[in-house]
Amino acid sequence: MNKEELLVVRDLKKHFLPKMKFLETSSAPIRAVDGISFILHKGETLGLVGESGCGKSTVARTLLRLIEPTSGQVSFCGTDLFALKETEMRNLRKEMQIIFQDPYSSVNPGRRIGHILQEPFEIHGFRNKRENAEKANQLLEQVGLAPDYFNRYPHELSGGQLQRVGIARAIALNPKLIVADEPVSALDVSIQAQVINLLLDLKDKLDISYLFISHDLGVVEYFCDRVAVMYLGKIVELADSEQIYNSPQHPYTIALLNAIPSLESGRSKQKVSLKGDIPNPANPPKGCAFHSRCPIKEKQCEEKTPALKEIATGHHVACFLK
Amino acid sequence: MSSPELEIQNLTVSFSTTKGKLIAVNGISFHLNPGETLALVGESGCGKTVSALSILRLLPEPPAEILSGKIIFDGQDLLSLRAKELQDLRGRSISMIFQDPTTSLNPVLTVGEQIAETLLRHTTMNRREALQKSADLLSRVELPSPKEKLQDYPHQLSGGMRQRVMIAMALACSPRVLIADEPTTALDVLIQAQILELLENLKKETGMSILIITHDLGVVAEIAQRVLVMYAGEIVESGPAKALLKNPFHPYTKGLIASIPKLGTKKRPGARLEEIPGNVPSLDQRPSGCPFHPRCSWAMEICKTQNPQLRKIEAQRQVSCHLEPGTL
Repeated sequence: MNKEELLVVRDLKKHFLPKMKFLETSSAPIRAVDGISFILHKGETLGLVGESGCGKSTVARTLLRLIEPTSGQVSFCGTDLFALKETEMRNLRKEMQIIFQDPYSSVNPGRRIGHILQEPFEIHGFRNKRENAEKANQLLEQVGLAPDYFNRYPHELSGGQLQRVGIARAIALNPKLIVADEPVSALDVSIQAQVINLLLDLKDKLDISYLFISHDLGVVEYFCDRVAVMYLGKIVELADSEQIYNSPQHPYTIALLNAIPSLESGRSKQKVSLKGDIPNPANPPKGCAFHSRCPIKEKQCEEKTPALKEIATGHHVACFLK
Repeated sequence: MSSPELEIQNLTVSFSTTKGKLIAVNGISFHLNPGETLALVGESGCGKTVSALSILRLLPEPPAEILSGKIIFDGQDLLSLRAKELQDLRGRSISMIFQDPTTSLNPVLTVGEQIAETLLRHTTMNRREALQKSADLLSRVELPSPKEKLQDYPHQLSGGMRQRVMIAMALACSPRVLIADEPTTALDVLIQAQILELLENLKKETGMSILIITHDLGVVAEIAQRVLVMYAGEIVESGPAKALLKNPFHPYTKGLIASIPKLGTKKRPGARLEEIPGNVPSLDQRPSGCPFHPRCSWAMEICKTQNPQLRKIEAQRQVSCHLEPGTL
């Protein structure tokens, strides 16, 4: 591959230590992210999918150092993020921005939209007030909001409009990377399409790469070039979007794809619904974390943990049976 | 044709707010046939949940007010019943499950106590029998080790398990109608598949009717026989699920279906999702005429002034739109 590497993640781990209970001497860490590695190329959109609790949002926050990692390495444009001081990191955040799931809770309800959009400039040292206001106006236009939204408050906007504000704020400083953490999950179906189209347009116009986190495989197929499937803090399958959807290999990926209700086929497709819930990440099953729900497991899956290996060009799977 | 299990006639519900009295549900009529799964589909704020809650009179009145309508169940109008009579009905003949199982269970009572409560209220069972029956119910909703789960508190269970507990509670008295308000929205897709399968199996076993409220057309395709599409407090289209999803008559239904990224439809470079422009109107900004006309790409002059009536197109299919059916 001759594509430029934008973000390289190596063996990233984030373990949370739960509060110790009375008389407890040590508590088992919750392995939210347990050693994941991937590369995001320039101009690419990488999807990160999985059920709630699989650690996908923790990955997003750890990458931006919104929470500190337990171990691992992340380099962004060649800079090792975890070696940076807080002030250096702050400078670099110009280049990497995040969009959150719930647009209401990610803006200050007491500030006008115009002010919210000027904030990135103020934080990063642009002092010219008139210029900042002008830029905020341009941002509104870029995300398809009328200029009179400048003086409105967040509660006057609908969820979709407010998510546009969230996007405007993220692109304010011309970032190279945007981490989008379930950006459309909280929106109505008819609004989801609008926001996805907006993100696609901006990608082409502003040359942004996305790390797109979602539990919705339909949206991810539409939006992403490559997809990583996470289960219990680990990546179990990573491949081009087409490979994942046309020839999924890991039994978990297959189950996820099978579980999506489809408009056309009704009940015709064969149903292999998985039994059981996602296990507790503080006490994951031995061996392959998925073996407790896996329809094709063998003896070795209960003892050893499969590593992610490449079975075809660019198609990585962590399963003994593939 | 057998008579419907539940019939809603001309239901209008309003809310008193600081902006005045706002109409949330505007004169809707529909019926639920015995043994049928009927889906009520729409986006947030379209009035689907308000309609469902009105059936069991679960809306806080005031601020809510049922301005007109009849809800006929078992030959009587539920809207004319007294509070005590309604309590006898709720959970026994008509049950409901809600979107968020975490907030709808009592956090300080064990699962067993909560299921038994329903049985003690509606049957002559004593406590021991009720707990025994609760364990049976939990095994019917396929919860592993039901006997032990009786002692558990809701926070000890996962989201999917809690939803199973809710379903067990709802089924305790073998109701004839189950109203399920977004039962899988808060769940992951794998767990959603499990719960939908469970509902389907239980319906086959008991022969009850299900009114399912959802915003997810995939769920509709999976489980419903008939669909009602709501927009801005009105039913804009109704019909058998398969036919309606395949060949929608209303521009809104068509837009909804088109805006879902479907699996297997490959992305062409530069391709965009079809979108419905604009936003869902809020209750105090109801457009004149057809409420969908500001977002409709087929809107004509007449749509701005006259709200179309729901009319019959084919057997079982109705639509409220000025366009000739088949134009889309």
